[in-house]
Formats: sequence, structure tokens, C-alpha cells
Amino acid sequence: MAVLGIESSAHTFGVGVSENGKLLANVKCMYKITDKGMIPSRVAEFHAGNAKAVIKEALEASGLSISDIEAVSYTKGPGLGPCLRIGQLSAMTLAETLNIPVYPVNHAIGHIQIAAHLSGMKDPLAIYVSGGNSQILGVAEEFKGVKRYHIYGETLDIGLGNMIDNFARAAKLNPAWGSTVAEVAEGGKYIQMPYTVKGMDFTFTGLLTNAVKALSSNSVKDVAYSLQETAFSMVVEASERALLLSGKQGVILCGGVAQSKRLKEMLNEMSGSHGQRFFVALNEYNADNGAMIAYVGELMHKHGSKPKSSELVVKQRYRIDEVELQWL
Amino acid sequence: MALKKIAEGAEADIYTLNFFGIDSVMKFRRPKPYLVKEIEESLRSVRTKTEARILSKASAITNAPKPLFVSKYGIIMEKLPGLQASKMPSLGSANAERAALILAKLHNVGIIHGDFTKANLLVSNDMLSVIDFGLSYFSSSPEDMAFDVLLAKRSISNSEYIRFRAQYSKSCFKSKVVLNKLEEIERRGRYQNRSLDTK
Repeated sequence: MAVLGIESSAHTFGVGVSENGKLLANVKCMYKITDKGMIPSRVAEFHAGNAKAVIKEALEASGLSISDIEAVSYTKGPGLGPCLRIGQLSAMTLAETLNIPVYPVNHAIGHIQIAAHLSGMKDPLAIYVSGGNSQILGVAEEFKGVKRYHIYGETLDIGLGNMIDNFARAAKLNPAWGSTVAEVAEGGKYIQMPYTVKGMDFTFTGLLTNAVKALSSNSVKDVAYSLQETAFSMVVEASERALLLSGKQGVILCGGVAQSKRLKEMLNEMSGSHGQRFFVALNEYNADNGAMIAYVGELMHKHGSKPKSSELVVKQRYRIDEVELQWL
Repeated sequence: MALKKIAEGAEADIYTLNFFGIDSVMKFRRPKPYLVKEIEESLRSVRTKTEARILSKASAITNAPKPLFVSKYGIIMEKLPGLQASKMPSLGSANAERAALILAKLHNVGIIHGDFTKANLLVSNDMLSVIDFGLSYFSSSPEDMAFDVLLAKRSISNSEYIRFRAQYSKSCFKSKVVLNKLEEIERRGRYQNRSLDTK
């Protein structure tokens, strides 16, 4: 049984194929971000232009033929409406043509579930950090048998990735994203920055404003270093609290910012200090990708989930804690 | 003065001991080697110092542990009786009111608790106390106070919150602005309908 998954919530159009939990293909095509950031309609146009080729390429990579595909899945949200719609439309078209079921997948669940799957951990604490999201979560049983992701802590304003990208643009770094900031930060000196953790929640806007201001009187290197250290420390501190309060076993890191070397290093050390294992997937599964959507689609398919046609839509604000985890 | 470790918190280890004849609790902020020195130092020593100052003020006005001895990274404080409310089936409306009164008293002298959840409320026969001022700070901003109320609200049941809110409205000087601010925070959208019940 193979499921083809389509991801298109932001700049990446990705297609993956999952067969019995084996990720046979993970192909993606990424919109190039300029200094203007992302204009949703442009990105959607880009996705529409590439959809067919990427789906074809993923099928080839998987070594399967189109008739082996038993179901399709797509990202329902959260994400940019126009972009999501291209993925949804592609999935619906495939499903209609092949006469197979189609499953809507929550993007955040995709990220977490694939990391949990690859880690082999049963019930870990998940730290999901990407452009728009920064959350610390775990599976909780609400009442008899109904399970959902419970958010222990999260950003109260902007996502960690967005904050770093914003800073990169203000500092005129090119390309304006996290890995550039990390490179520049190497060997910097620490300047004091606002550190805001409220329980297990945290906020980033104060830090960002302060860092952008600090650029006028300090070297980019020192500011980048301090920004990164402060932001990551906040996330790690909140995670440590969540780990101890929730009693979860093991820690997984996922989402786009999970590609950061420094963040991995800090979380690894924190987890180790409590005798817990730490896992982070390969970068190709942390960046937005189709394989994670395919994998969750397969879980839903195997579990006989039957989405109503009214659920086969896109939802720009689709909170992870809205989703009932029937397959767990 | 034999030490017995009773809990490992997120940032500190908690021990019980007998300190010159008084049943006490020692809170020691562990090193966090994964943080850069500057952040680690400020988290450990600055927070310990602030916590000690806040404890001495809070314990004077309400049921909070009195600090007996303070060092750079640790505090020995009086041990209060009771069980964590988070470990009980429910808080109950009488205790919800007591909790609101405590929070109102703290806010009236400008103390923000910072982690006002059931895990930090101790319930004994007819007394409720608040512990763990590790994230506390001084502030007179209604927004900061509203976050305390928000944490409490998410941590208790709806019916408990109704009693909590009524008592808080009566006892906190700034309750009107604070509760308005709370509505505003909840409208900001990121965390609507989030509860803290993890069981």
C-alpha cells in the first residue's frame, strides 16, 4: 500500500511517497525568496507551474507506477491560502482521476509525526520550530481514547524562524535566512538581549526589536550571535520545563529551524542531562516536505479514517490541537 | 541538616532539610551547561536574588514560604504544609477563591508570580499556599498581571474560574484593567481555547 502526499503550505511544493512507513520518495521544488519575502499569489503561481513535474518525479523516484498509489493526502493547513489551494487541487485531481481516497493533513502533525516515526520513540516531547510556528507539544489523552497533541508552550507572538529571517533582512544578509545568520554568528561575543519566558511560553518580538536596534552600534557578528543564543536558550529552557512537567520519554526536534546546528547541540545536551534520548531527523524531513504528508496520509488511510467532503478544504489557521489523533 | 532531594524542577533541584530546627526546603539552581556563560549566570544568580526578594515580601502578606537563608544560587526557605493541587482530582471552588485572593494580594504589591498554575498551589486542610516564585518579578503592568490570571484560568476548570474571577475582581485594586487586558490577550488569537490540563 502506497500513499502519495503533497505539501504546499509555503515556499515548498513537495511530493512524497510512503509505503508501510517506508519513505520511498521525497521530492521538492522551492520558490526562491527575494528581499521582498513571499508574495502568496506569486508562490502559488510557481507551485501551479511545477506541480505536475514534481509529482512525476516523485513517482519515478519511488519506483512505483501510478496504479500502485492507493490514496493521496495533502496539507490542509496551516499555511498560505493560495499555496495550500494548489496542493489541495492537485491531490483532489489525482484522487478523482485514479478513483482513490484523499486525506487532509495538518502540516504541524506532519512534521512531528514523521520525526517521531523516524526516531522510533513511543511518546516523546516534540519541539516544533519553523518559520510560522514554535511549539512544545506532546500527545495527551483528553478523555477515553480521544488523543490530541497538547501544546505545553508556544510562542506568544511570532515564530522562531520568522524572527531570525526578519533579523537577517534587517542586517542585509543574503540569503536572508537562518543558516546565514548562523554562519555570521560564528565566534561572536555576547551582548545582553531581552530574555522572555513566561512559564513554558516565550515571546520573540522584544528580542527582535532589540537586536535590530543593536545593529547600529555593534558588529553584525556579535548581534547575530547574541540573538541566536538568546532565542534558542528561551526555547531550550521552556522545553526543559515541559520535559520535566510532562514526564515524556525522549525529545524530538522538528520543523525548519530544526536544521540549526546550535539548537540541536543545546537540546541534545539538555536532554542528556535528564537521561533522555534526543532525536532530530535528517534535514530533508525537517524542511517542508511531501514525505511527512504522505506518511500521515498513510496512517489515516490504514486507520480507515473517512473525511467528509466538507473537510476536504484548506484552512489557513489550522491549529494542531484541533485534530483528533485517531490513528494513535 | 541531612539533605533529601524531593524534586527535580526544570531549573532547580529541591531538597528538604532541617535548618536549625525548622522544617525547610532548599532550592538550588542547577548549572545549565548548554547555555552561554552570560545567559546562564544571569538566569541562575539574578533569578535567585529576585526570587529571594520576592519571597520575603510575599511571605509577609500571604501564604508563601519565608526565605531563611540565601546564597548565590540557592535559597533555603520554610517548608509549607500541603499537597500540590495538580495532584488532586480538583481544586474546588473554595480553594479557587483562596487562590484568587492570594494572587490579588501579590498583584496589589506589584508581584507577578509568572507560573501561577495548580502545580504551584499547596492545599492543606483549610489553608492554601503558593510556592515556586522562580519566574516571579516586580511589575505594575496590567498585562503582566493578566498573564498570571490567564495561566490560572487555563489550569483550573470553568466553574472554578468563575469563583476565582469574582474573588479576584473584589480583591485586586487593578482588577478591572487586568481583566480587560486578559480579554484582549485572549483575542490575540494564538492561544484561544488552550487548556493546561495534561492528564
